[in-house]
Amino acid sequence: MQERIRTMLVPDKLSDDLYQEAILAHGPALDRLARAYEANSEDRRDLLQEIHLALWRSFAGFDARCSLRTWVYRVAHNTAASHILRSRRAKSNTLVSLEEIEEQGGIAAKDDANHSVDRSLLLEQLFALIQRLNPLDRQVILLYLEGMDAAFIAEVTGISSGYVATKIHRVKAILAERFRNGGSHGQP
Amino acid sequence: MANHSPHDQLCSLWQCQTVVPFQMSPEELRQKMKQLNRKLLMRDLIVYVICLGETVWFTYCILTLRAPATLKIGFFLVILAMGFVAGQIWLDRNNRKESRTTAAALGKTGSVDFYRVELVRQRNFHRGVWFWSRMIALLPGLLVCGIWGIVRYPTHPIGYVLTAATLIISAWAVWLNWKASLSYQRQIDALDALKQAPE
Repeated sequence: MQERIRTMLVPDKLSDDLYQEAILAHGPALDRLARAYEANSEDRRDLLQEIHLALWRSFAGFDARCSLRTWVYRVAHNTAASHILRSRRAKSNTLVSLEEIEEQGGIAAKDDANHSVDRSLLLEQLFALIQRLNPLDRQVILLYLEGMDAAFIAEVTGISSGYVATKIHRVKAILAERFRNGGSHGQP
Repeated sequence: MANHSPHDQLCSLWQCQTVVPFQMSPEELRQKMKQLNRKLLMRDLIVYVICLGETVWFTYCILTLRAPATLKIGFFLVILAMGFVAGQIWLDRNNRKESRTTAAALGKTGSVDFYRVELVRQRNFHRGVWFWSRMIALLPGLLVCGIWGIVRYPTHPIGYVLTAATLIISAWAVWLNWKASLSYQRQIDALDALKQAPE
């Protein structure tokens, strides 16, 4: 019923309303996503604006066949993936897959793993890890960190949920090796 | 927190980052959209102006210069190439307009499919019809002018320099584009393998 009312609204108004609703519910996740793609604060703001603009434009065609959450994450991740492809810096860096990182035995930690790692350093290392990944694996790890389950990640990415589960297993193994001490210190 | 596993704590740490609330008002969004359109228009206009300038210059050369027919054919081929480049920009602009109306595809398409389409687009830019048509459009005019220089002034280096520069730059462009297309193809193959992965 709500959807029917929505489709009867003027498209621009509908986009505005859906945009407000989406940002209210998922705004912080979009901000974290932009941080994971762009370390530089100006580039990050540009990407965030690009995502917001893409989201607002996309709502003109929102048909409620999927949930608002799925729609928001798809638009955000697809926009960010496009951004990566266009980015000169990303073109000059070689992005790797989770499998390649796992084969390399994770990334060497900057400090001794036996020392306690504070939250900001832990986050910094997490960002460094994420920014090395290719767009698709980056999406999987980001959605995992956002607390999404395999079924939802599969819906957003279009990979089979079985394969997503395998990817998540890899993510967990890499994170466990990379942050085995930091995780236990990183109280929210 | 119900679960204190390191993974859950990492997820919590991630989700509890301090974020500065960011939201754009409807007016800001519309303004941003206008700015974006204006920026794209300016970029296209610059290319159109360059193409037009070169066309006017070479037309002037054809009409007023007392040059042999071979050189004039070379100039004419350069004009055709400029027209071709302008045509490509116009087509690209139309495609962009179309994509604006289907912005919803961003939300309807899963990441794998969306990313694959983007990769295929990038790959095709670097190889295939689009790439070779650009080369074929730009090469003949420059080559004809260079070869004319060699035939007309065999002792002067200008013809040799122009021909050699055209060939070297073309070979370099082909190599760079071929390398880039291979890299995109590898990523496309990886995505195809991913889509065929068992449930």
